[in-house]
Amino acid sequence: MTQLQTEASLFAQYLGAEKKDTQLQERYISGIELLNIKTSNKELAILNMLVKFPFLLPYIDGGFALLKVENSIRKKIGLMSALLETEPAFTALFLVEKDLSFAAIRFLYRGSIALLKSIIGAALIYLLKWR
Amino acid sequence: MEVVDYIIVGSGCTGAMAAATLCANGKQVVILDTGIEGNPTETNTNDFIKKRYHDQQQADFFLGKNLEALQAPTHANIPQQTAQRSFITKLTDTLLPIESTHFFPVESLALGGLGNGWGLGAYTFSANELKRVGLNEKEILNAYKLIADRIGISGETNDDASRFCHNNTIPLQPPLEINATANSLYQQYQKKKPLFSAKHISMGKPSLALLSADKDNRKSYAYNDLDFYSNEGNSAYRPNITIETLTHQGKLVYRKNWLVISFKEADYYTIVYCLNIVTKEKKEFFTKKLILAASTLSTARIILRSFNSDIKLPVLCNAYTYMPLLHWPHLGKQNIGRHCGLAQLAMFYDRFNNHEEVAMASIYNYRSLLNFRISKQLPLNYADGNKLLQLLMPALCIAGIFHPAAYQPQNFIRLHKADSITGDLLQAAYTYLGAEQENIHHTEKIYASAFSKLQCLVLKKMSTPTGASIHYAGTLPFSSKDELFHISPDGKLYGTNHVFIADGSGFSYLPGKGLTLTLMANAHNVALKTMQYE
Repeated sequence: MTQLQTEASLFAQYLGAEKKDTQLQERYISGIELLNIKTSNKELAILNMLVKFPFLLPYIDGGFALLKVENSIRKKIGLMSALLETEPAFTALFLVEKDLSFAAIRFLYRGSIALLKSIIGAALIYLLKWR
Repeated sequence: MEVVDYIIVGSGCTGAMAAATLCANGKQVVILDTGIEGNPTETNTNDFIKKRYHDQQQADFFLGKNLEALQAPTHANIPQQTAQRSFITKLTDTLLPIESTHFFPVESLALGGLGNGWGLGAYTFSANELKRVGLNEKEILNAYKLIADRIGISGETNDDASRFCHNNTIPLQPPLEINATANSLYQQYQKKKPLFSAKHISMGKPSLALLSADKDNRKSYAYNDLDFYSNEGNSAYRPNITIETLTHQGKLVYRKNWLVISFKEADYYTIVYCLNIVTKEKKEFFTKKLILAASTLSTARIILRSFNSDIKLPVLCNAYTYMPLLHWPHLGKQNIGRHCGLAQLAMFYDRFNNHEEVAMASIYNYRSLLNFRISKQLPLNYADGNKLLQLLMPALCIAGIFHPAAYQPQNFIRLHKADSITGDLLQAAYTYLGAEQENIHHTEKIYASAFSKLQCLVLKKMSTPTGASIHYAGTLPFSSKDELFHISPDGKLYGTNHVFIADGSGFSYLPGKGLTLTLMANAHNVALKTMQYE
C-alpha cells in the first residue's frame, strides 16, 4: 500500500466509510493531485503516528481545528469528507431522513464531547510540539 | 463603414433591459460584450435529493470536475461560489484589474454579467429612496410595472413586508412556498408582531424574479433546490434569457469576445474602440448612439479612458453583514423535502419610520451548498463535526443584511496607467467610518436582538470585506447641471452628445435593499429617452 492509500484508508474509516473502498481511495489520490496538497516532513511524521495510533485522530484533527492550524492533514481529511458527502452510499450520514427525537439534547451532548476532544487535542499538539 | 443605430456595452440586467426596450421599438441594436459562458456539468437529475441518493457522478456536479469547490476561493467576496458559477468572474483579474487594500468588488465579463449570480430579490424603492437616488418617481413606477411584467416576479401582496418589497405597485405572480424552517420563523414573527412593530421591523415573503407560474417558454419553479448550480426551466430570470430570445428573433445582434476600451465622438457617430479577448485584435465599431451598461465600475473605466482622465470619482457600496443563525426548534428535523435555496424571508428595519434609510435582511436556509463548506470552519474534528452538522443543518439559517450607503469623502475610484492588457488599473478605496460605521453597528444589534426573539441563536456576526454586497453605484452622479463626469436626468453623459449610461453609475444613494429591479427600470427609461434624441 502506498502512503496515500494508507492515508485514504485511515481517513475513510475515521469518517464512517469502508476502510478498503478502493474506488474512494482512487478518488482521494486524484483529489490530492488536483488540489496540489503537499505534505511536509513534519506532517508526514504526524500522519505516520496517526496510522499507528488511529484513536488519536479525532483529538489531533479537533486540536488543529481549534487552534486554526492550516496544514495538509486537515486539508486531506476535509477532502475525504467532501468525497464521502458526494457519494450516494453515505448521503444518510449528512441529511436527516426523519425527525430525530431529543435532537437538542443530542446536539449539546455531541457538541460538548467534540469540543472536549478538540481541547485535549490542542493540549497534545502543544505537548508534542506539532504546531 | 457600418454605423449602427445603437450599440449597448454589456449584457447584464441593465444591458438586457435596454436592448429589450429598443428592440421592442424596432431599433437596430448591437450588444458588444466579452460574453464568457459557463460550461454546465451534465446531470442525470435536476433534483437535489434524488441526486444525493442516486447520482454516482454527483461529485463532478457539486465539487466540480477539478474540485473547484474545494480550492481556495477565486475572489475574497464569493467564498461559496460553485463550480458551475465560476465563469461569472472568469478573467476579471486580468481584464479588469483593481488595486486596493480593502475594497474587493466583484465584477463579471460573462454573458449576463453579474445577473447570473443575482439572488433574484426584486424590490422597488420608496418615493423617499428614489428622491435620494436621483430618479423620477413617476417614471420609475411605470418602468417597474413593465419590467415586472417582462421578467416575471412572484411575491406576497398582503404581508408586513409588502410595502417595502413592492408596495403593490407591480404585477405579481403568487408567492412561492417557503421552507419549513422559514415558515417556523415566520410563525414566531406573527406571534410577536407588536414587539417587532415597536422596533420598526417588518417581516414577510420576499419578492423574487422566480416564477411561481409558467410564463412564455419558462417554467414555474420546481423546488428542486439546485439554485446555485443550474436554472431548470429558466424559472429564475437571468439576462441571458432576454439576450438569447432577442437574438433568436433576429431583433438583436450579439457580438461576443469584445472588451470595450473607450469611445470617441465624431460629428454624426461615435467610434467604439474594442479589444478581442481571444485574438487580441483591436477593432473599431461605429454607432449613432452608445449606451454604456457595463456595470458601474467598468463603465467608469471606459469613460475615464475616453476622457484620458485620472480624476477621482466617488463610489457607493452597501455594507453587508452575514449572520449565521441557529433556529433551535428545528434541530434534527427532517430535511429531505421540497426546498428552495433562495431568500425565504425578507426583514426590513426602518429606523426613522420614513422608508428612507431602510436596512434589509434576506434570510436563507442552508442545504444545497453541502456540509463540507461549514465543517471545515468548525473548531471540531471532522468526524464529530459531520454528525453535529447533520442535526444542525435543518436549523441553520443565514441572514444577509444590506446597509444603506451615502457618499463619503474617503471613498473613491481612479484609473492609473499600468502594465496591464488595457494599459491601466483601477485604484479603489472604500471604508466605513464615523457615523456610517455607528449606524452599521446599531443595525446589526437591532437585527441580532430581533433574531433572538424568533428563537434563533446568532452564531456569529460576520462583517464582510467591503465590496461583498456586490452593489456598486454612484461613480457619475445624476445632475441637472451640465458638468463633466455627471449624468443628466435623461441618462446622457455630460460632455458628450450621444453617449448614455444605463447602469447604476448615476445613483446618488444606495438604499439598503436589492437594487436590481431599479437598475433594470432605469435602464428601460434611459433606452426610451435615447429615442427622443433622434
